[in-house]
Amino acid sequence: MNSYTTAASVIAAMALSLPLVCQAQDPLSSLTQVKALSKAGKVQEAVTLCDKVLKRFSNPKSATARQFAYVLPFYAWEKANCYFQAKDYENAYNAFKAFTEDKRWQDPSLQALVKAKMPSQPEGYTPFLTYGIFQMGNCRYKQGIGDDKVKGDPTKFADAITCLERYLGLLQRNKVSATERKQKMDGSVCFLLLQAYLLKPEPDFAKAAEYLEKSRESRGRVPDSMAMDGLNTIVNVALSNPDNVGWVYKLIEASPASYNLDPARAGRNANKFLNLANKAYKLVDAALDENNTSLAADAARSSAALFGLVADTASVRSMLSAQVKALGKYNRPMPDRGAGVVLNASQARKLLQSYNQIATDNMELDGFAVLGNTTMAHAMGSNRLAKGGFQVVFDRYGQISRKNDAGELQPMRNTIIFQLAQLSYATGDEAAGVKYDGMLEGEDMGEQNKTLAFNKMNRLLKAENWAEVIPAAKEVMEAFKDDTKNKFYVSAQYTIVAAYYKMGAIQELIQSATELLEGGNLAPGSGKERLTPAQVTTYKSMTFYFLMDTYTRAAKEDPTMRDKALAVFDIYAKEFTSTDMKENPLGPNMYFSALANLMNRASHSQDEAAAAADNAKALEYCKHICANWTEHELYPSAELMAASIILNGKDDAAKPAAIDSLERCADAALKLREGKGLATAANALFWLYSYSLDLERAGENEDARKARVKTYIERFWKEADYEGNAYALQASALQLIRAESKEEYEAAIKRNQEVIAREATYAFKHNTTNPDLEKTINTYVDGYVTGSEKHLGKKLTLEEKAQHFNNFAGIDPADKYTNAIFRMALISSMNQELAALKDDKAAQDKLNNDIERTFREMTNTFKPADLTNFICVQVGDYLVSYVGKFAEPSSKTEEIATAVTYYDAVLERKQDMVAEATLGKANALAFSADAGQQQQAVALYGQVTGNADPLISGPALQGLTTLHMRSGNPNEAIKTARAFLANRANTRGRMEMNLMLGQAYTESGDTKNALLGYMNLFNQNKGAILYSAQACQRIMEILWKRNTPSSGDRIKGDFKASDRWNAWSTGQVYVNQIRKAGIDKKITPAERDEFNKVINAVKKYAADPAVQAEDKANKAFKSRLQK
Amino acid sequence: MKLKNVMTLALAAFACAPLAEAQDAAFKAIVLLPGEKGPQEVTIASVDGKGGFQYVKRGTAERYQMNTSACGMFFIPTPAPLAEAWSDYRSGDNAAARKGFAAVKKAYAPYAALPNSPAMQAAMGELCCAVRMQDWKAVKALSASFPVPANMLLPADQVRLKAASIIGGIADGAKSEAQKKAVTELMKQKGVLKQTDAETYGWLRYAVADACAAEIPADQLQGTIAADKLKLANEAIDNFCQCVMSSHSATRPLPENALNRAIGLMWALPGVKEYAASAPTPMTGPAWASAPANFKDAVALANYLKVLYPAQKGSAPNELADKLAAFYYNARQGSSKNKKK
Repeated sequence: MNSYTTAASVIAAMALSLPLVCQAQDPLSSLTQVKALSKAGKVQEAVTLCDKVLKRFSNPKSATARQFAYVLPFYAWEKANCYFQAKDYENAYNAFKAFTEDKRWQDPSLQALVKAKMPSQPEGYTPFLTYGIFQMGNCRYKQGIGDDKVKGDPTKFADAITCLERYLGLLQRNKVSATERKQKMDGSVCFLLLQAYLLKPEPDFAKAAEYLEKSRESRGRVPDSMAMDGLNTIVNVALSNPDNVGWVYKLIEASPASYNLDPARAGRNANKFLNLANKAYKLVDAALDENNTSLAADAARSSAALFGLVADTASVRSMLSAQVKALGKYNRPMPDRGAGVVLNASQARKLLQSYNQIATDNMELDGFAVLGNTTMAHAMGSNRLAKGGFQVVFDRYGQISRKNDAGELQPMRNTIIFQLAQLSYATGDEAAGVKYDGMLEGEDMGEQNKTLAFNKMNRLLKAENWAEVIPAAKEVMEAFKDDTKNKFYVSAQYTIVAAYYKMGAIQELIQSATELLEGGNLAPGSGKERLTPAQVTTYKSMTFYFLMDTYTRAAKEDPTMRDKALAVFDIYAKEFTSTDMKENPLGPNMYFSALANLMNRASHSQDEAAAAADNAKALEYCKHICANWTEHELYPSAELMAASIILNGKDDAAKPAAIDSLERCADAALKLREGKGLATAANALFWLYSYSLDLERAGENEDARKARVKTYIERFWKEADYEGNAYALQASALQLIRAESKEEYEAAIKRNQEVIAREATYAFKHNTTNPDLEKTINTYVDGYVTGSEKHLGKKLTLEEKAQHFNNFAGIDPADKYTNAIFRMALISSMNQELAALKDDKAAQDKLNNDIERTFREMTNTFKPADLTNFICVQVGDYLVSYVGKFAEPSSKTEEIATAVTYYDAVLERKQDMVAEATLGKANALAFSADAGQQQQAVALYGQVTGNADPLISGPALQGLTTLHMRSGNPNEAIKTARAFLANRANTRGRMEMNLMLGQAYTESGDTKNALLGYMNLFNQNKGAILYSAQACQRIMEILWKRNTPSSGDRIKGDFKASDRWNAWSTGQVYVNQIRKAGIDKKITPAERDEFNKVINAVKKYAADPAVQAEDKANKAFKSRLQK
Repeated sequence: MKLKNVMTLALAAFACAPLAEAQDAAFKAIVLLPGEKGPQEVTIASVDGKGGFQYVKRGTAERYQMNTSACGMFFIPTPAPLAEAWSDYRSGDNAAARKGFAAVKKAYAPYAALPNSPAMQAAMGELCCAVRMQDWKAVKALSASFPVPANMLLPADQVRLKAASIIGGIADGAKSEAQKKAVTELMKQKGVLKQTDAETYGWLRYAVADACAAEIPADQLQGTIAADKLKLANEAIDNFCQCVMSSHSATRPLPENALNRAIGLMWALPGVKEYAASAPTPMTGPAWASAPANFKDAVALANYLKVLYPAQKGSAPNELADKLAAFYYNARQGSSKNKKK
């Protein structure tokens, strides 16, 4: 401690050399006593003693006083010092002031006397005269800041500034003592002034900055602790007023040397820097929340500047180690003048120990500085920087820990991993997100468990792991169960619905979707935890769609589900009335689904009026889509459906409009991205090619129409064709059928060959079959053979045909399915040829032999073992179908046996297609005349009539019914037919089964039920001539056979017509109705045959005299009534 | 707030005034020789590079042989020019500091092989300045010709030197895989991670980032980065960002450069400039919410640059950062209302 700090120490030193005058009056011993009292805290006693001495020796008349007058300034100084030590700054200030202003002490002769008396202190008490000014400022400064016991009084800073500036002026003008000059206090005084200017009631940062700069330029180093106190003041004062926040940054930047210390020095203050930086960061946080971006920027700069001052652990340890090593055993302070520091080995060792402990505890302060900066960058909106920061912390300070309230070390690793996971997702690095999330599996993350659960759900969602996403979503719902309107809770609810939809879990989907739509959680709210209106729209419309589509899918099993699907649509349509895609994003999808359902319901409806209403509604929905969503990818399909409804409708006048729809459909479909609309375009162009020849357009002659139709098929091949095109085979077949010239024939044949080869190869590669392939090959075989003769004048020999069909260009020889179809098509063609040879017995025999040979070749070539189960069943089915075309199928025993070998191959393998093979084998054996084989067929049918797939069970019941009828077992046929009709999933062949049921009732003698069944079929399907005509015939036959005579009296009104008259009348009325409607002009040959049978029966019954008589009587009675 | 006794603190520095002498032209050290009671200043006459040195006592001409390890204390006072260079360095004047360090390195070269010698410190300071100034050729040359063996350096400086040789690879156009491997291998070495200071770690991240970015064709950097280079671009951005955050705002030039390069790469990511062309200025909440993530991050980086690395006097205008920062939207606004009390 400097010898001038207290007067007591000076006097104590002097006392040894001065003569002892008088114990009682000894001013020197009293000064020692003052010091002792002051040290003991007896300030008042010390001061009283000083005053006593000053009073006693102030009398100029006293010789003793004169003798000791030179020591009085030291008492006066010590008095002030006592107050200062006792922190009585008001009295200290006054005492220092009194000292500096006391004219006695200014007396040069007194000063000279002291110097003379005290040779060891060459400046005597002179330094006190100027240093007292500093102490006055210091007292006021201390009053200004206050302490633990006394509250600071900022008004004192004005005096402090005055005194300190005055003293600084003296220092800078060199008007202070040599001792003071040596102390180089300029910097320290500047720092006190800096703080005083900041802490006064109206902080003056400009002045503070000025003194900070002066402190840098001043002589003498500012002690680090003082610099830290200054910084503390700067930060605290600056942060308390938004206008001043930026000063922290400016002041630190303005005086980097004050704070940008070497690591060893900075290391002592790292914790303080960090705390101040965090304090500034809190302001950033608050300012961002308040959207005060200017304040946030100032605070961010200040916080970053402070974080930047935090020393790096590695550097601190490295430098401290070097210091400890250099100073070795020397434990006293070692000034390093060049660096302006005083080194101290024991302090360095102690600090190094602290830093080693910090490293051991994983509490590196620089790690926290990186974390602080990271959090700030994140708050400022940068996910990339935040990710970078957390990555640095994870890689460099992987085990960083903080102490909890109980003083225990708490690792932050999981928190950092959690942040890395979130930020990886946010910056598009999905793989990293999954990796980090995986690290937290099973960890208890408190509140963050919610986010983890949500992430897990999202991860599974993106991976389309539907089975696992449901429990994950339930975990999210559990986490947010206290706030069911929270967007995460609702999102999880929605995810469950979506997952059930994807899994095809119908009941679960219906239940979860209904809960979501009706539960009340799907509502917009305010705040980040709530759903936005747009999110609600998305979730709600998607849920409606899932629900509707699920009902639609369920309708395949249960047609009543279609009604529910449409009911869902009705609710949806009422809620989502906008045609704006933002407000109704699934509008086109919902309307399309609705119209598809309506069309499907109409096509299966037995109620013509209801079907017409459904189709009309469907057309309305098509038009709604076409009018409002022309840019949507469903628009072309809507045009296509509209055309379909119009073309299949009864309004012929409206049909040309379908052409317009189809043209719009093709154009729009071809514009869809990535060829998405190719199939739709192909469909539209094929329909245009198929239908347009018969549909006249206003103002267009036939040639123009033909030319237009030609453009459709050209566009079809040029713009809409592709491998796997579902319409290519049909289009090529139709082109061949329509070929009218040699050129057209050759072009069509070429096209057919290419398309057949391409599509057969496509199906073969995809291990599937194309049902149109068979039809097209049949058309091709027929067209090729007949066209050759017609257009080329060449009748092909069997060898030429076999050569062409058996080695068809482009068909893989391994493609047994297609090659087998060609063989069968050739056999069919030959059979047709055979049928045409009516009288040429020799030619018939030859052709029969050829057919037999070809078939044998075919079955020899394609052994069941060579074929897949699917192809075996297809070949078997083909053979069964072939056999079924003969009037006496049972005669085709070889074909039946061959078919059975194909089915048996599948049944023996016991893999897939077993049900199909069982059905096929039953169908084959059912054709046999052998009772044993028929029984075998019955047993086989029995195995599959309960199959869940209606495409198996339905035909099985049909086959069984037919077999029962053929084997004269009508009662069993009634059971199986009724079972078939009871299942509404059996949509194909219902009318045939109705006819068969009627036949079975007839054969069992139950004419009442037979009539009832026929009547229903007849009344509900008059337009379907093939069936209504047959039903009509049966009704007429039954009535004719029953032959109940007429009864009752016409006049009395209880007359009942005879059965025979009713038989005739039923047919007559039916024929008239059909003719009147013009239906008879548009019927197929098969329908014509059946219709003609009714006409013939009517003619026959009309010729019956009894019928004629009854009819005459009826007419006469009516005539009389009219008169 | 407490203020210690100002005078007590201020005067503490003067307790050992007798030892404070002006630096002589000769190279002096304060040593505690074996058997001596107190330290004394000696003139170092020569060093042998293995810790051994010859010295001359004050007032004598005789040379004595000694080893630093045998001394109870071997302290080299900081030469004033070195202190000044460090001051410049810590004040951010890298050019002046580099010049000062180079002079000290040269002047004290004969005594470099003494523990923490001025030449050794100056060489390290010069190298650090070169890195901060991104003078990669110099970094490569300086790290290759470091005046003392690495094992004589302080532990943190040993890592620095190795890191400098890696980042110096930029001068030769190092490839990303090679840089990543070099960094990984360095970090794998025992104890290295704990001895790596934050700034040095930032260098390593920069080295990786630069190598990744260098593999992206210039036309893509100016235009749009192709799909097959997106992984590299993202890696570069992430490593540049790690460099920025590793510095925790302690140094300016390299992180600032990293930030600018990250912004440039973000701008070249597909969809960013396209979105910027039609984005409203200033952005609205809904527009910001629906903007592409890469666009938002490009904007956030630009805003961060402008806030924390404000343009210095005389620096060229940063058009891209200005353009992007104009889209800045504070997504935090109003979030205090949602905070749970």
